[in-house]
Amino acid sequence: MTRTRAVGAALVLAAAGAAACISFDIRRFPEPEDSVASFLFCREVESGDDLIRPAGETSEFAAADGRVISFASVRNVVKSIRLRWKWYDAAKTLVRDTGDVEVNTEAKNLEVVTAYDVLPLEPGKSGPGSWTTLLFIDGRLAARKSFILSGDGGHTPRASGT
Amino acid sequence: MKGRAFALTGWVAVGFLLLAAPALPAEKRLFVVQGETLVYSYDHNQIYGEKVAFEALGYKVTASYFKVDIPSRQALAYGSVTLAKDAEKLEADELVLSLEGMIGTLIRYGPTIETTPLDAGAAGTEGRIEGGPTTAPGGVFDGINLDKIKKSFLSFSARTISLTESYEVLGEGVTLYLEGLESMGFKRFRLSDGVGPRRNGFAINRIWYNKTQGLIGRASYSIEKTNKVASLTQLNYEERSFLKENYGIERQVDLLTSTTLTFNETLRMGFTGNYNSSSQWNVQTWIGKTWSPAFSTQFDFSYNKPVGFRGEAWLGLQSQLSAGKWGNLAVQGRYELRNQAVAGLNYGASFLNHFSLNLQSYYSRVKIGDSRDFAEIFTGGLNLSYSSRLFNLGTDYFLNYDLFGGQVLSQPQLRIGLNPIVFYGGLLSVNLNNIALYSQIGREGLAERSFSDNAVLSLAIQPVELFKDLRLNLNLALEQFVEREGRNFTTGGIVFNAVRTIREGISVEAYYSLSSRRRTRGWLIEGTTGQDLSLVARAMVGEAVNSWVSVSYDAKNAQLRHSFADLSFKVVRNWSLHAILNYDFFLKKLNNIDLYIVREAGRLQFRLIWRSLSRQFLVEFVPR
Repeated sequence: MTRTRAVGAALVLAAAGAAACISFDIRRFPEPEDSVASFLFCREVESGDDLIRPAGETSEFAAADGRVISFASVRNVVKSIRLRWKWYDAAKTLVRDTGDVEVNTEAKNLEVVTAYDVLPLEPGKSGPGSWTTLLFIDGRLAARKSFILSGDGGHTPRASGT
Repeated sequence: MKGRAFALTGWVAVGFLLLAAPALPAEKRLFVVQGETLVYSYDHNQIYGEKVAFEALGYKVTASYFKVDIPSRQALAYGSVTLAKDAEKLEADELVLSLEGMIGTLIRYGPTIETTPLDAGAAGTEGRIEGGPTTAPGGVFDGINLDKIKKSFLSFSARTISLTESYEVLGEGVTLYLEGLESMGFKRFRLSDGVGPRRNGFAINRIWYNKTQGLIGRASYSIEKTNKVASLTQLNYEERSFLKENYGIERQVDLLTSTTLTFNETLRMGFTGNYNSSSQWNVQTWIGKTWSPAFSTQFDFSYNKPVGFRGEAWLGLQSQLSAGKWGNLAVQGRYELRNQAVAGLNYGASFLNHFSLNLQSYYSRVKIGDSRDFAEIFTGGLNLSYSSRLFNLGTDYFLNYDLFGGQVLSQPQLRIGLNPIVFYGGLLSVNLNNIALYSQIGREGLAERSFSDNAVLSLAIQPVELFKDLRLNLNLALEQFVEREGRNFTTGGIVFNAVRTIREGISVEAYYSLSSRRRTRGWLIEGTTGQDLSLVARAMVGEAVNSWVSVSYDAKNAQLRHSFADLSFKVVRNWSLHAILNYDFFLKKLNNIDLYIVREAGRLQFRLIWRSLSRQFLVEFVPR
């Protein structure tokens, strides 16, 4: 009995002592707006339900692949946002800039927005190595990722889909 | 009993307060970051933030995103990064921080990628530019994102997070999440242990309670000055007086301290001390001098007080000489003030490419308990070996001379082994080894002699692909043991193994083993023969399933013997189920079941365990 009381007293004391330090206001895990959920490279994109999905995710490409797809998904989009891709080759030179592309122009409350940009590859136009792709949201750098291009890779700016 | 109750009450309360309090207020912070979103994963020891502000290298920094990978000691701020100091204002897309030494690099993505070391002059005395990253850092930050931290077993969100010099993470306005579900809020909390020990100051390292060990407290005090002083003192306290089933001592205190002083590159001095509340303690001080890269000496003095015996004070001297091709020599000697002594010599050398020689010699003169008598023993060993491409040959001599008891053990030995010989392009491999041993024990003019010889021949056939999915393997061994007393053994065995792959990751294996042991003594031959047939089914499907089940059959007596199973399944997220079972067909009884529910959580593993044999249910946090 004394032991039970002791444990009870200990808990009360501990609770009283820690009361100044512990609060019990329950919060949800932070879910900020326009948060980049994924930023990756793939060979194809597939349509499914309302969203497009990446297929054949990889970070290694060859010039013969013909293209590199940079796929992004952004979570908690509640207003219109501007997406922009920048592609840098192995010599750290800008080879493609999509400029701003407006997404969710109707300012819907969207849980996820998926989008992608395509870098066409043409053999013999640029050197192999580590290429860097950047995603900007509303003019701010939001994600960066690199891929390896083996053999000769080339680029010809073309219209991109987002 | 009342005393115990109060002890429990006090300790639990103190424990809670220490856990909730900012335990380490004095240590310098590498940075203090505030942000609209700021989260920390205990599993992965990583921080992620959005819309953050912090100070680094003398600048006030703001950025859209912030990532810290504490194990690699790197941080990255990116997205509209601004650095402000007085009138100076810098802008960049990224700021990369190497936390070890606080080195900063700015990266801008314009027509080219422009990398600029953050200027030391502009940063004042806190920043350095040497060796900063010249390109954008890669993979270490790719893996840090909000989703990953949310999926951690233990994660925290906070209003402010600071990182100390010892890489401890402290938070203010903290909410704790278990599996991403909100659990409890704290005003201030120490979110992680440091990567290494604290560099300077006092730390409460652990306060823990469990049912079998009681209340456990660990604290430490450390002082470190690079290349000058390194000192660590640890205090361990265990309180068991309030445990219901405590049959040992009620409480235990251990104090351990170790200090090393470095005077220069060749001269060092140290002190160690240990105290245990059961009244045993020891102290040692030493001084070491390196005379040249090949020759060093250490002198020490120690006092050791064991429980129930008188203390002993020892003086010691050790020297090491590396003489290159002439070999290595180590000499040590210790003397105790009550006339006890130990001395040792060790010499090793390799010569003529194939030979190696090792010589050891030890002498000890130590008291027998608290009596006035001494045990005096001399031991010596000599080993000479020769190895070539075809065979290896070794000869050993061991001598043990008990000077007090007047007994001498002398034991020469000869080893010869044939290196594996392969035939038919590696399909067949043969190995032969032999050990001959002679020993003589002499006492008071009488001598006892014995000898033995053991020869082992083994033959292995490399796995043979019979059909597309069927592989066979065979091993044979034969051993002959002969000794002077005439107890001669002949042992032979064969192991046959067949593996059939049913589909990728799923296979069935069969093992058949036959062993026979015969003993001959004069005309009498006796022995045993054993057979075993086992079937094993394995399934390994990605990360989801990794299991095997085996059944063993006694072919000699035509009966099933036992079955083992090791089943492992991934259930959801990072939770997996693991079961180990053992069934005895002879007793018709499930001998043992161990069930594990495991959560892989980065640098720790959380386990719920049930063991049928001991009827125990355990909850464990195991550091990885």
